Amino acid sequence: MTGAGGAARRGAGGHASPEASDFLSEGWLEALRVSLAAWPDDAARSDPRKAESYWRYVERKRSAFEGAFALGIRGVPGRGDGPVYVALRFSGGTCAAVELVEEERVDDEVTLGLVCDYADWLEIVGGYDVGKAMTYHRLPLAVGTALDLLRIVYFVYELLGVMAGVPADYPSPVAA
Amino acid sequence: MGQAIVGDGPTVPTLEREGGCGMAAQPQQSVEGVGDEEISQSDLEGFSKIHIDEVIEYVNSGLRAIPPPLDLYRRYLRQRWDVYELDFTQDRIDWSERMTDDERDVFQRVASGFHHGERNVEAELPTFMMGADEEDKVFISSHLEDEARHTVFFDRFFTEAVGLDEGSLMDVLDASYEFRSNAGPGVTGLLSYVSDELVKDPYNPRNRVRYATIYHLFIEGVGALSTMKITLGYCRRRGFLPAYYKGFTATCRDEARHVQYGMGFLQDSIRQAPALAEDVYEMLRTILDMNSANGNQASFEALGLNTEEVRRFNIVQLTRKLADVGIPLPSDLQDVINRMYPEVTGG
Ligand SMILES: [Fe+2]
Ligand SMILES: [Fe+2]
Repeated sequence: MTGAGGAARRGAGGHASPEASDFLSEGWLEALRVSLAAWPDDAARSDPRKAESYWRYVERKRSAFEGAFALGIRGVPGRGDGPVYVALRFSGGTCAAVELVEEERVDDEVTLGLVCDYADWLEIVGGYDVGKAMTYHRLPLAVGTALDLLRIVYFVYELLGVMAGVPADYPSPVAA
Repeated sequence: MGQAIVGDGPTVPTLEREGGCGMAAQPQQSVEGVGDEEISQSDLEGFSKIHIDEVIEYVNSGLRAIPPPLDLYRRYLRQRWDVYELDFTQDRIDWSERMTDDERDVFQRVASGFHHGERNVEAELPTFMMGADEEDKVFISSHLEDEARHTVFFDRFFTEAVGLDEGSLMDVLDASYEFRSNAGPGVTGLLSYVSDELVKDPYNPRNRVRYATIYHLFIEGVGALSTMKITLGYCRRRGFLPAYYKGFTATCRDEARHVQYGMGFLQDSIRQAPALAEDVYEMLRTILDMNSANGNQASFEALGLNTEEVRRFNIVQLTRKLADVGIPLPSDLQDVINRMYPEVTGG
């Protein structure tokens, strides 16, 4: 992907904001859970591209979703080549847990999963549009079917946005 | 110059002709003044005299007897047009000096969705070719070239008429992306997932029917026609943007081949395996559920159509396409269709 380039500002060099935790650490997972509990906040709701009907859709999906959505990120420095999955478990309309799931167990534990490369995730964190990443095959399905995704797509889109917005100290990408 | 669109044309039909909207009507006579034959034979210049409603009717009238893929391919060879023949000089003047801020705002919002739609249907089509019959592959190759040409058409429109900075095709796509009115990838962006699934199992008839439902039936057969109606109706009424008018009307004629092929594919598939109708329904339910989030398509009034007219136009087109596929409409789906928001997308 091109066009973002801001990812390094959030770490990948040790300059994260003071409240940032190491990416994928317990502190970061907890910060993500807290963000999800407060979401959607006023800033999210003020986006002119998201109408009332959009939020009604998202709310409807959140209330009905019983299971776990996960994003797998491949090639996180220090964590091997395979994806590390961040799973968001929902029940009764709230996020009950945020946890890491091993790749071998993801089919059993996750209802719907997408996956991306670490470099692409850093671009998304830096502002690259999640919708474009989805369009350009940068966030392919890892668990579930295309229809499963389409049935809750804006809910997933929002979850990815919340995840990208949690301050983190990102490790520098390993030079190829 | 821009006035030529109206001035040289035949009787200018009213936009209400479809918008009104003969929901169940299947007009026997598709056009007033201009026949299907004239649309079929027109060169690029000739499109300045043809009203978009007549071409939309041409799309639908062709569905009564769908030609086989190789006949559609031969038609493509006759109808192919050169996107580099268009001259956007007058369009640039109209855009910068004659259109109002409101008109520009709505127009670029609608055109941006189509710019990306064209790119997305171009990029995702090869997966559908993989599991197709050999005759179908030949037609699909022409369909793919059409979509590439449509992508270049919008690239030229956004750089030469709107005045976005030139650059790579992706640079211009990124710039026009900023105009879109909804968050998320949109229905054409989500083709990526449907085509990823098809790649894994390209002969699977259920995958193929779902793909043709979102791609040919919904994006091309419903969403695209509304964008054409909104923007081309505006150009004709105001006498603006002559190159856009000619190129996008020619694009609409190309869509006739795509939609006819797609509806033919769905008809054949369901004739052979009637249970596949369920896959059409399920894909449509899902798309319309996504559509329920689309409440802020703002207003199209600056371009002369109100939201309700666009919405009703979508409903008519969707109902017609399902009738053309020859499958009954379950009542739950009819209810959802009746409530749908305007779907202004395409490719
Ligand atoms: Fe098309
Ligand atoms: Fe197209």
